[in-house]
Amino acid sequence: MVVCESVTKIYEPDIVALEGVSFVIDKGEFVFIVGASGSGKSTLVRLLLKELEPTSGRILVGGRDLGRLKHSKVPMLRRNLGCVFQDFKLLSDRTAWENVAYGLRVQGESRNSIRRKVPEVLNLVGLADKTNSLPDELSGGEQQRVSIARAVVNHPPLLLCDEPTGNLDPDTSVEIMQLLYRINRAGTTILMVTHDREMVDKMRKRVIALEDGRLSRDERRGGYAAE
Amino acid sequence: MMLSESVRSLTANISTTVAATMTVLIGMFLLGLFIALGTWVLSWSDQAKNKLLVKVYMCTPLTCEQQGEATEGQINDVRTFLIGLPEVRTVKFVSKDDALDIMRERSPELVESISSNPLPHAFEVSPRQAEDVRLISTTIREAGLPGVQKVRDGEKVADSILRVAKVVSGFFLAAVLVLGIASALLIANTIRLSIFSRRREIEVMKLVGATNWFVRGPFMIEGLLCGLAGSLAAVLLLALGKGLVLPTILGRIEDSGVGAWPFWQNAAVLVGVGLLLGALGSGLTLRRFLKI
Repeated sequence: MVVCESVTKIYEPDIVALEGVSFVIDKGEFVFIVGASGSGKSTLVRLLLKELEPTSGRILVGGRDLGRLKHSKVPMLRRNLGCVFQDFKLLSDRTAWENVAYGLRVQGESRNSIRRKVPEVLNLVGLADKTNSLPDELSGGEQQRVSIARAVVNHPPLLLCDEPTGNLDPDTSVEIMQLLYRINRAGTTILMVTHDREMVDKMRKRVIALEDGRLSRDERRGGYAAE
Repeated sequence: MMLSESVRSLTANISTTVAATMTVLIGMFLLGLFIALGTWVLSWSDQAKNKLLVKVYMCTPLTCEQQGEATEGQINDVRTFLIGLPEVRTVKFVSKDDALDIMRERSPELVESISSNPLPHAFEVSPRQAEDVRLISTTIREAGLPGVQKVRDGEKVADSILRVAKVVSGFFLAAVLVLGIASALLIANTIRLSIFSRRREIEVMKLVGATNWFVRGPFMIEGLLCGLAGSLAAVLLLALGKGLVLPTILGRIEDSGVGAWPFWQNAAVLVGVGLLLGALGSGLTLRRFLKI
């Protein structure tokens, strides 16, 4: 699903964000990426979205070489990538329903299929009764559910989560994790950047740890810290 | 969907929108005036040039003392020479009697007081092309035909008028250019503000995989709307001006055959340039601030 081959990213002039990072993520995996602030986690996410270009090395997402991907094809890449962020990135002047539909509309989906898909996915994330609420009227956890709904409404094979529970209290975080776990069980590969030690330790999933831009650990069933 | 988004963001930062539209308006108004005046002057000078003639005066006993009056043969020679010139369209012979008649009409009291006819025979030569007036007159002069006393051309008047017109139109063009640049930049600024106020939405759009043109479209339309509104307002003002002000001026210099471009043509140019400015302004900003 995701292949990184000795990826290096240097921000001009000489800040090394990632150095020689290599890993392979298979289809259907659930992978945590952990590391202290400034260890290069966010850079990695942005590279996978092709918001940035690596200084050297190769990145493949869904079999496509990002270095060879034409600029005009980037939107197509992102349609096959769900994204969830710490700050939700919802449009505050649109309801939950509209926020989810927005992604579909942008991609030129027909009205009919939007009407079919949006309630379906809102149901999946457990917001069937809040479809007409604006983001401000929703709790943090509910907002994150809307953002997850928007990310998965098109059934992307890969879901990128950049600290999705960073702004949420522990109980809500657990709910969000359960939701993500369910989505993963349904076949979606999930790559999750996180600081949430407890969560990583409890889930016992694959853990990739970054330290100062280098890959320091890659364990099949790891914890947040090295054992 | 795109159009409604553009209108929404135009009204969101109304003051800059108004500023940009106003500049387009003023610029297009001046451009309209320039086109109207410019084409009018051009058509007028064409008309004036058509009236330009080369006059060839033959000798009279008074003007050529050695030679005396030009003979019939000399007059005929001059006529064949003139007709033979390739630049000449028509040659008209004005005899001294005709000239006196013309003069009598213009100032009868002057003619009353003279006993004999002092006027020369003359040829009025009209050129095929107005620019050739000078060429014809020098050719005749250099030919040194016997019996010819003087060759005159009237180009100087038209020349100086055209020179003034050139200066005026240069000034107009410079003003239009400056205002055009100003309005493109102001539109660019308007778009920049609206990109800034909607950056969150743009971010989300990019994340969910909107194509470049889908993201840019609304802003492009915004710029075009600015240009369109400004130029349409300018056309409206010009139409008002044409209806109210022009008749009072034109009353004095009515001249058939002289006319500016038809109004609709002028208007079409203005709207076209307005749209171009809008596209230019928004394109400028999109290139710089909306890299995707």
